[in-house]
Amino acid sequence: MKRLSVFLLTPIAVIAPVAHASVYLTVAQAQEALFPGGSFADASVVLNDAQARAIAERSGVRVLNREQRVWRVAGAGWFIVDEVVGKHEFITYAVGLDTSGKVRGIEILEYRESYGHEIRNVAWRRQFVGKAAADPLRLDQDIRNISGATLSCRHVTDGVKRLLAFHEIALQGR
Amino acid sequence: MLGTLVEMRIADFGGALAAFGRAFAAVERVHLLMSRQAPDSDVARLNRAASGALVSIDHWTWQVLKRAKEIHAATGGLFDCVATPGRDGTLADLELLDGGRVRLRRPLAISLDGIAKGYAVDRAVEALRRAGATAGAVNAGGDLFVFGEKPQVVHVRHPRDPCRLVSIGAVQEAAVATSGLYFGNSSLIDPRTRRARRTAWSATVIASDCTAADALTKPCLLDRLAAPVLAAACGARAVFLH
Repeated sequence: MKRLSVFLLTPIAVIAPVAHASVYLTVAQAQEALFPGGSFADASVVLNDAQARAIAERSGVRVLNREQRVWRVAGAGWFIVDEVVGKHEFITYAVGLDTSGKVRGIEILEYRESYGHEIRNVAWRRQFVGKAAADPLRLDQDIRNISGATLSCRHVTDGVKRLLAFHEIALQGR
Repeated sequence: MLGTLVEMRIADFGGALAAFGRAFAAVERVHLLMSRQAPDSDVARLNRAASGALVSIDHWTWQVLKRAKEIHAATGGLFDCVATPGRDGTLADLELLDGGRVRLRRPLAISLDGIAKGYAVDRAVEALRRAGATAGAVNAGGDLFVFGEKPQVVHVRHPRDPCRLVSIGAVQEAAVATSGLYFGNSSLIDPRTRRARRTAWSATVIASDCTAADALTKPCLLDRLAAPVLAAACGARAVFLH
C-alpha cells in the first residue's frame, strides 16, 4: 500500500510537468489493488445497438464507446477498464465489481489533464464501494449552490453508473 | 456554454420558462462574443488585430474589458487576462475608446476565460429579474450569484478533495466565485512571471457582482497575503481553503 500512503502524505506533490498525462496505475497494478491474487481472464465485450440503448436507458448516461474492456475474475467478480471525458481530456479508471454486481472499488489509471491529481483521493473513491445498479449514485444530492469545479467528479460518477447498468445488461449471468 | 455547465434556478412564477429562455440567451451571447475559439468572436478578432489597429466590439465585450482594466489597476497588475506564457503585452496595452472601440498598442493574446463566466452570470441574473423572477440562483461552473429576499447557503468544493463540500454560510444578493486547480480545468498564469503556477489552495471571492468575483479569485490565489486588500479594493472578500 505504498502508493496510498505516498498520496496521503503529499497530496499535492507534483511530479508530472504541466500539460502532461501521468499514469497512476497500470492495468495490472489496478487488478492487483482491486482483486489481490485474483486470476483474470479477458472477457471484453462489444455492445450491440440494443444493449447500448438499454444501458443508456437504465443509467441515464450515454454510451459513447461500444467496446468495453472487461476481465472475469475467477470466483470474485469483474474488472472493467473504462474512460470518461474530464473537462478537456480523458480519465481512464478501473472498477471492480463483485459477483453480485456491487462496486468493490475504483482506481484511477490515467488522468490526462494538466493538474488532475486530486481525483485520486481515496475517500472520494471509497464512496462508490457497495453501490449497485439500483442505487441513485448522484453527486451532491440536494446540495444546491456549489462554488468550484464540478465537471470531473460528475463524469466519473456517471461512468460508474453506466458500468453498473452495463453489468446488469451485458455481464450478469454470463 | 463557456466550456462549462450553466445551471439556473428560480422561484416559480408564471413567466419562469420565458425567463430561463432569456437568461440562457444572454449566456449564449456572452459565449459567442468572448470565446477565443469561435473565429468571429470579439476576442478572436482582437487577437488577430495588428498593432495600432482600431477594432469595434460589442458593448458587452467593451464592458468586460473595462472591468478587466479596472481590476487590473486595482490589483497592481495581478489580474491580467492578457498575460500568456511566451507572449509580451499586458492589459495596459489595450486602450478603450468611445463608441465601443478598442485600440491595441501591440498584438495581444487576450483570454477572457477568467472573467467572462462571471459576467455571463451577471447578465443571466439581470435577464431573470427583468423577466420577473424575484429569487433564484445562477451557477456557471462554480461561479454563482444568488438573489432574492432569503439568504442561501453556498458550499465550496474542497481543493484537495473536490467531492467534499465546505459550507461558507448563507449569502444574500451576492456573487461567489472560486478558483483552484481542482481538475486541471484552470491553469493559473502568474502575470509577473508569465508561467503557470501550482497551488493546493482555493480562493473563494464573495462580491456584489459575479464579474468582479470571478476576476478576483486569480489575483487572490496568486498572492494570499495581499488578498484581503486586493479584494477590499473592489468591495469584495476572499476566503481560502487548503
